[in-house]
Amino acid sequence: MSTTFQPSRSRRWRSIAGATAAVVALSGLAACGSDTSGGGVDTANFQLGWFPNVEAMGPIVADDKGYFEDEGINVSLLPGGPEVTADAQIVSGNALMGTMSSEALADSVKAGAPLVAVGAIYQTSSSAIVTLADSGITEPKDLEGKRFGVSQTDMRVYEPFFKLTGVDADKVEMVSTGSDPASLMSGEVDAMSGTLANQPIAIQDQGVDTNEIRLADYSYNRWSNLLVVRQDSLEDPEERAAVRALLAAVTRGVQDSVENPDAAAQIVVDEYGEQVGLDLDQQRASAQVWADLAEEGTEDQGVVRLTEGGVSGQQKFFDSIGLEVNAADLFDLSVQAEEK
Amino acid sequence: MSTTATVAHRADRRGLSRERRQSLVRAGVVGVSLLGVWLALATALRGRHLIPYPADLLAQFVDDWSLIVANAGPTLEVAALGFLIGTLAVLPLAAVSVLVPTLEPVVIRVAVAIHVIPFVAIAPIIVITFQGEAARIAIAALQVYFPLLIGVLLGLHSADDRALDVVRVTGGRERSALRFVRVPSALPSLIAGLQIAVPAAILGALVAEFFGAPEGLGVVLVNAQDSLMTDRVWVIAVTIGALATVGYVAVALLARILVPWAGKGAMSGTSVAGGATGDLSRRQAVLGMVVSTGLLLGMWWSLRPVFGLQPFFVKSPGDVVGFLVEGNPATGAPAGEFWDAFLTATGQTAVHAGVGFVVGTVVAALGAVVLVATPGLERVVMPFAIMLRSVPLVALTPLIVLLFGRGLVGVTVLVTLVTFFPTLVTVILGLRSAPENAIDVVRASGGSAFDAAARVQVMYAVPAITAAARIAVPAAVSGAMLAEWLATGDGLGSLITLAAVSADYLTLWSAGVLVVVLVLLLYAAINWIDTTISRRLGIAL
Repeated sequence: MSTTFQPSRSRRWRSIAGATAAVVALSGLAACGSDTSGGGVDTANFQLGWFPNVEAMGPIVADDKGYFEDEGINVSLLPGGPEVTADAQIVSGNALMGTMSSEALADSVKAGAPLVAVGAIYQTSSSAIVTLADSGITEPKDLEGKRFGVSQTDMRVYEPFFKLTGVDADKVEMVSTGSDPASLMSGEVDAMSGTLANQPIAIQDQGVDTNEIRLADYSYNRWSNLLVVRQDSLEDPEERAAVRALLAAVTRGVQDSVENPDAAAQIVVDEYGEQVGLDLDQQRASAQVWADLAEEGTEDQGVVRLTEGGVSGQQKFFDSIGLEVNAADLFDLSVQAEEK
Repeated sequence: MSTTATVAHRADRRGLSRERRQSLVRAGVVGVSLLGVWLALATALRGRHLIPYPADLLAQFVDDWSLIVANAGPTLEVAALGFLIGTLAVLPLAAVSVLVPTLEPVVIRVAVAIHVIPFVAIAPIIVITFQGEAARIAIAALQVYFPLLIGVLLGLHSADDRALDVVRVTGGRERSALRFVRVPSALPSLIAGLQIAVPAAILGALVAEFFGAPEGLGVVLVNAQDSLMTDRVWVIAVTIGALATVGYVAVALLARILVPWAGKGAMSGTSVAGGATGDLSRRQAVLGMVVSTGLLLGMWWSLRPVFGLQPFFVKSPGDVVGFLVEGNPATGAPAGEFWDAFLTATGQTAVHAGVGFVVGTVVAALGAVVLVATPGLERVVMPFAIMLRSVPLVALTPLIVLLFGRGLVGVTVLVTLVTFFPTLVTVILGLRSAPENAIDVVRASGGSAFDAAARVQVMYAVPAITAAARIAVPAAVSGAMLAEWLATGDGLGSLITLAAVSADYLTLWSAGVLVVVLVLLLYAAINWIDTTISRRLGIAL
């Protein structure tokens, strides 16, 4: 079923020809036009934010169980990665829908991208300060006098977070480590900015206990895996129908994953993970965390669905990190209202 | 009579076997000492999840064998096709540059500019225009063409001037000179260029996967790192290094079969790639500069209309000038804000790249002298050099920052890893190209191999060092930026990548364009130094 990533022979040759053209064009010898105007109504691409793993179990389960076909649309999942440019993929029309964090969406819209979110998979932030259990760090204040590994992209979140929680930021030694848990295990840092479903599970798998300080517990709630589309996709009736179909199918996939994260992890590992060495046990543990995050905060309206209250919560988050943007412009609640 | 012949023959054979024994001993010494360092590090850092013990690595290798096989295929396919396409793009460009010398500086300037555009700026364009595997092949090809172009041009220029004169005096035109003199004498440099391009292609294919891929060694590497599977991280890193080594050796073997005469005293001219600028008239030089600037601006401007790309992530020359002069139209931030950040970052990157470049060049040049002067050592050490070059920095960074810190020392180690390899290969080639009769003179008068290296071969290696600088300077800049993103969190690497992740495409493009301009200026400086030195040496020789 999910053979979307296996290019056919002719497609492979086309891709070779395409790459040749790329180099030729970039070498300044020639440039040939290429039409990138995106998908019809019965086929669409969905851009994932990372290499396929359980964080994307919603769309992957939807694909595996044929929910996209049920909605009358043939969907290819485009894998992401550390350097994926989801915003450009959606803006250019390569992908009808893609996943972005609320912060990334706000950044892009502020920079002129005509994007809008029609749903949000994780409405409780997965962001956390991760420490080893024996570090004695259990609340933000404990970070004073310690080395805190933080990825540069998270820096702007933590400065206001420290202010909010009364931590003297001057007393915290910030080290630019990125998201590799090795820096915590090697003892280079005492704590690191991380993701609940990633570093803690990897570290616990080595038999070492961890502590997590959830940012969401301090009303610091960055959403992730927003379902983002181009604004003008909502104006065109046919594309709008396709967006609605994708939203419905992904929502079903997320619902299934929340109800049975073990099964979702199995599907992810069978379809993609085994090929690239993902560990089933780690993926199961991770899926459980993601399932809880997808459920938390959506109990009343149902998974993925947006509410006015949720959107104003994101406004609060943007305000606190000094991101001047109107949250109401970033979210569209009208598509979900049209669902059957 | 016949007895003497047999004795001589035997002596010969014994001599050969002594040499072979010697080189085996050297291989053993190098191998054992590396193993010792490895064991010492693994023991000192045990429990920190940074380095596995040799036995654990071996066990993991056995466990992961099917995983490696399944994922090496897609990565190697992209690397091989990128290598092929990069090579096919370079050869006509090189031929044109030699046939029409006025065009050479243009070709080189455009090549350098494309090579140093920060990847995060150019990648979305490639990924969106070509999609999927084609985009990954294009990214790998972009890593290949530059060292290859520089290598080929070095070779085409290194033709013996006297041989060229013979062709010309007998009525041959530039095309005959190309065919009969330049191409044969370019072969060693072409081969060296191809050898440098092999690890570049594999690393390019790996990096391409970070922009989105369903499978491949890069995907496995990142997944393993995220899951704290340290042993697997090393297994994949070593596999990548081994694949690059195999490719490197394959190129060398193919070269030995196809063109057995290459690499033996073939290169005896002193001019190098881009050095031709010095021979051009001032008018031609100015014309070349105008043409290349116009060409680059034209290509940049045509990105949007030709590929149908959106202004959101593809900024035009007008957008960038407006941003640099008047500030950000969307946020109202003044231009001064960008300039302050940019100048501070440029200062940091200049230090990182400068120190890394100098250390990398010195290490590589000294290493080349030692390798050439010690027979057999090259064969032993080269695989490790290729390994170091082709292991992705993301895998080595955690270890390097723990050993050397995130300061200047750590950054220098990271940048040196990026820059030393092309210099090493090119300088070895330069040292080898010294005429054998000149070396014989030193040897005959009682000089050792080191004397020969110091007195004769080094002179011939100088053009090679400046030629290598043409690859190493852009490599040092991009290596410094990578190290800044991975390890220090300052400099242009951080500025540009942060701009990319926060969708600040105006900052991204403006900083990217300024980096290109700065590197082009550096190039002009290398050119000047190069022609000056080559002329002096030319007189001295």
